[in-house]
Amino acid sequence: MTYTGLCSLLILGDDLSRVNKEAVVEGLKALQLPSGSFQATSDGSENDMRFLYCACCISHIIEDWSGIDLERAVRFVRRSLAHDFGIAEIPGGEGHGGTTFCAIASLSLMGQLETTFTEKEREGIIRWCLYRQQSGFNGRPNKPVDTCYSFWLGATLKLLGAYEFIDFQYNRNFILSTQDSKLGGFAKWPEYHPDALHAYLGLCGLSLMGEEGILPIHPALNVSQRVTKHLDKIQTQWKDGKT
Amino acid sequence: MAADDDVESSSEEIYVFFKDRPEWKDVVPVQQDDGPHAVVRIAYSERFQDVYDYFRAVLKSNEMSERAFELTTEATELNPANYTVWHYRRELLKALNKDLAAELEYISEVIQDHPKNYQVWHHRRVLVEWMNNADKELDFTSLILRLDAKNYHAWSHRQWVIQTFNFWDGELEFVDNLLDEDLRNNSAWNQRYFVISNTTEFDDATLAHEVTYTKGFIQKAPNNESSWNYLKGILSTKDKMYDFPGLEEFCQMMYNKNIKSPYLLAFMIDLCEDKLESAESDAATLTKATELCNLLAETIDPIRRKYWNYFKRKLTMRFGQEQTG
Repeated sequence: MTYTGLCSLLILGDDLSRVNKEAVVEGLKALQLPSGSFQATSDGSENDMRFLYCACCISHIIEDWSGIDLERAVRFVRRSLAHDFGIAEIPGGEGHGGTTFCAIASLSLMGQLETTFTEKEREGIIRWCLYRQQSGFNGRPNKPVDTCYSFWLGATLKLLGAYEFIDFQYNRNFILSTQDSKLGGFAKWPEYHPDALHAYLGLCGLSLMGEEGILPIHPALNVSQRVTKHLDKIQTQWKDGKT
Repeated sequence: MAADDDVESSSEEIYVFFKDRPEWKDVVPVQQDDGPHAVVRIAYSERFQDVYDYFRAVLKSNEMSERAFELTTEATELNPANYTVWHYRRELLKALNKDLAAELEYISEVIQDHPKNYQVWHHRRVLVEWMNNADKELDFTSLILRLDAKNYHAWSHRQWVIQTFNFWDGELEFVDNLLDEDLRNNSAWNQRYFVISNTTEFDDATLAHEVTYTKGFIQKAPNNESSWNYLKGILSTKDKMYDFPGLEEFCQMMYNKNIKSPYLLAFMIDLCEDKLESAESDAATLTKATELCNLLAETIDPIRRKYWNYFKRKLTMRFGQEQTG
């Protein structure tokens, strides 16, 4: 909720001056577990790659990484690398497109993407991601394609510098085939009911390919670059204010 | 957005709102605070609003009572993804000293209705931790996996149970059965890797057995990415894989049978790359690898044409220089 809250404020043009950043940092510290993973709330919840990603986005936005033990976080990501080079929700789990995105985007935000994996592992992850493309992308081997994975896998490949290897035409055709011509928006599959999540991620998938009329997306933060430009401006103001 | 998850109630029984129940007369309902200028307000049903107005009220007064417990049952039925309701219910379970076995029965039903919900599986895990008893967990996850053999939550729970309670015995047989039913079940292949890497590990005998086992599945379905990934995954536990007995011959035999699986060709390229990394410069191996890349790019895997062309360039740059000058 803190991640989506901060993103929503940025999207709306807020300068985050009313955000209690110290409290946010203290909150993150309380949510990280010895394994490096994060839980969602201190009342107890499941813990996995999704919340590690949220913690990284939050730290990036408020420009304060003291809420995360980076070494443990990186170790958690490494241990979640599956035998097929997908990245799982937790160590031992099955590689999955959504959590592979969370892992790679987290490393990118932490500035650890170049150092965490060996060259062989990096190549393995890239190939696993590329193998997900059937027409659009699926999230795991032998699962059906689904609109949202055009973003999860697409953004991951973008961060890994391998997005150019995908087949744009197939991907674009699939995403557009899931659009609902009557209700609008995108569904996960063609001829299926559209929903807000797939409408958003369908647009993000198109944005990654430079689709005309759609703002470019920031692949790690999963917001438009209009928003990250606004964030850059705020962060420059913070620096000027501090010095 | 509609959040109207009306739950079927038996037709003879007429549902009474909490605001109309005499036993709740002493409680002042607390409405949801959407702020002064609510945007995109959620279209709650009247029943949803009623239940959650009273839920917020008991939460505020921290009421620990049977009626509050029953209220959480209604609230979770209407929205099983609400963290706060489950947390409050667990507080009530402790405070009222409720029967945890009965609660486990209850959550079993809820999970069967909502098998892809994170919160309900977390609730189950907390109950198992509290009881320190996981005797029902393998059967239960197996039941859920019969409905959807790739349910990520069920697998995660099962892995946690196996690791925490040391339930490794028999798990490989469970995986065998699932793979016999569906050799494309990627979750089952992952579980296979999970079990072996946590028990025998891939010692020489195990690796030899697993390679033979996987080759059998590959022959049945050469286009199955999961089995090829498993083969490569287990061989990656070794320093090099190209000289594994019979492997190159196995691939060549399939290739000669004109089997056009992209995974076969990709695996052959990986064997070539591995060989090029290990051995002295070897022009024939490089030529073979680049030809395979061409085949993939042009005819067998054209959706990844740009990737295979890149891979060919990469191999040529890494291993082709000595020949050219």
